[in-house]
Amino acid sequence: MNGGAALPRRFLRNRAAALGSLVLLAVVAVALLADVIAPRDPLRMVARPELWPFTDPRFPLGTDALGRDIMAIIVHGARTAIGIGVLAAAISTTVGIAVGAAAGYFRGWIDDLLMRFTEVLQTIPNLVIVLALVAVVGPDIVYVVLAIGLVSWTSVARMVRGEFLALREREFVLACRAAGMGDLRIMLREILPNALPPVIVYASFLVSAAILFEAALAFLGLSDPSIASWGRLIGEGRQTLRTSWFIAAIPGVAIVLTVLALNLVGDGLNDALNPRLRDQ
Amino acid sequence: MAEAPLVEAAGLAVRYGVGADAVTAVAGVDLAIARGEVLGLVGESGCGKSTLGRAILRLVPVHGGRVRFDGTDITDLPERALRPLRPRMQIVFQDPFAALNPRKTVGQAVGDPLHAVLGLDRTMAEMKVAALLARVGLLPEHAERLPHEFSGGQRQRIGIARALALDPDFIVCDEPVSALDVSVRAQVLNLLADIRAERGLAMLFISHDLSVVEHIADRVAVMYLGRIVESGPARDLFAGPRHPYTRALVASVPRIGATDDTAVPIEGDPPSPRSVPAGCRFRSRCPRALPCCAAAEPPLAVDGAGRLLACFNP
Repeated sequence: MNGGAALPRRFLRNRAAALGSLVLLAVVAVALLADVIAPRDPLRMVARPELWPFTDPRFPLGTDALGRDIMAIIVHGARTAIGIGVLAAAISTTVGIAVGAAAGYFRGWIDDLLMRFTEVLQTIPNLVIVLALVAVVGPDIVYVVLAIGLVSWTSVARMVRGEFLALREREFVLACRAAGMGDLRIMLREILPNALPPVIVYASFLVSAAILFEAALAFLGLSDPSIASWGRLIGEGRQTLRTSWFIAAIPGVAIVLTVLALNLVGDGLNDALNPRLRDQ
Repeated sequence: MAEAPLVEAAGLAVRYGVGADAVTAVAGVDLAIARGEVLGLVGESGCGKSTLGRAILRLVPVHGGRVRFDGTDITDLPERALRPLRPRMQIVFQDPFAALNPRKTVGQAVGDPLHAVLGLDRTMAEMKVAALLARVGLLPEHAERLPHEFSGGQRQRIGIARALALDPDFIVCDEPVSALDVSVRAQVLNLLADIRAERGLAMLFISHDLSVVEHIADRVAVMYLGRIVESGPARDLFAGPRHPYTRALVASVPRIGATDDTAVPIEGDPPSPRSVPAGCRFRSRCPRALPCCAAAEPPLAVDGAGRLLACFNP
């Protein structure tokens, strides 16, 4: 219903959303340029352990308990966080859309089957499932992403199902059925584009949830040990919390900033895509 | 009518919901529409008119009775087998805002079925879209625009063009002018009448507005709470309504010089379809109800004037 230019304008007029996108852009830029900013392996020991920040210009954020450059870990950790967040969110959105669309469009036993399965999955805490999956298949980064993606689709599925249930009765959809169009075409071309706005909003929260998930796994030492990760640094910093609290605090700040930025962007998208709700 | 009807419903029933919450929207309707004939379907809001129209097109699940289209029983046809027949029966909706996908251009809305269903190539489809838009009084360049750029009347024209695109034999017009401004109502109505005459289309023309139906219909069926209570040729029925409900409807249309002393305006709302009165369903509002009306439901039968009527005391 919006003109092409109205949406970005409405989004950026929201100050929190504009700030959030600025922070997010910065994080993405750091993630993309990680090899330029910190060209060396971030997990290599480079200096004296527990070097405080702002004491050595070569290591502006200091070093951890093993003498690794915290700055390099943060920069490469941004790549891990964004990569895992986006990929896991893409997996869960895809699965959620497929399940929700099939359930909402076909109804009947397909709906019953898919939704009961979704509900069963929802009753088990996601972290428990991810821990179990990763414990079984091993802490490879690919499995971590898959595990996170495969537990977070349930809300997307329920949301998409609701949209499909409502939209399938809309008259423009009936007109396509009356014309004899195929189900897949109606689902993909007619209903899905109209069902997407809330999913897009939710996807930004999925990205932040996935980042937190990976951080939690890494904190527990269950994520891929060969990859720089904010959560892992926090977990390792825990042991020196009393003497060198900055080792855990710096990645903590990075996570908080990134997740907060993503949530602000999500809220802004929500307001921009659903302008009528804003005034309520 | 020697020829077999194009569209035929027998004992058609549609329910919504399950168990104790089930509502019978259409409770056993018989009707037949010949080729090129326009059947007007009138009745109050919520009497099941739209549901009946959609059930005939198999757009809502049918729970009882049969629907035949051009000799084929389509009641239980699986969707895949029904698909080749679908282009021949189309629908025009009441709400021109809900009837068009807000994210598709007019050209896509009208043209997509042409290549998705009929397999026309893009150039052919575009040419046909342009011709259709011209026929309904729009410009070829309108094909590039999105629905929100149009007025209600223009959108309804788009909806008509879409229904015509597949060269149907039969169109369900579900209150096609009710949502329009009075000033454009007549234009759209005339457009439908012209197109019908040009193409020899059969129509089920649904409306709660008798004057609209009178303008376009050959025959009229009056519906009350999910059943047909009276039907007959449009002119006769409007000149001499027989069922008390039809009489009240006809009497409610302001008309110069018309007097029907026996017609008493009916009051109140129709009973909920959840609690339909036993016997005649119009009994609770009927000024002429007799004790026998509570005992049994009057069947729809041919009366002395050659009209179908469901009333014990007309």
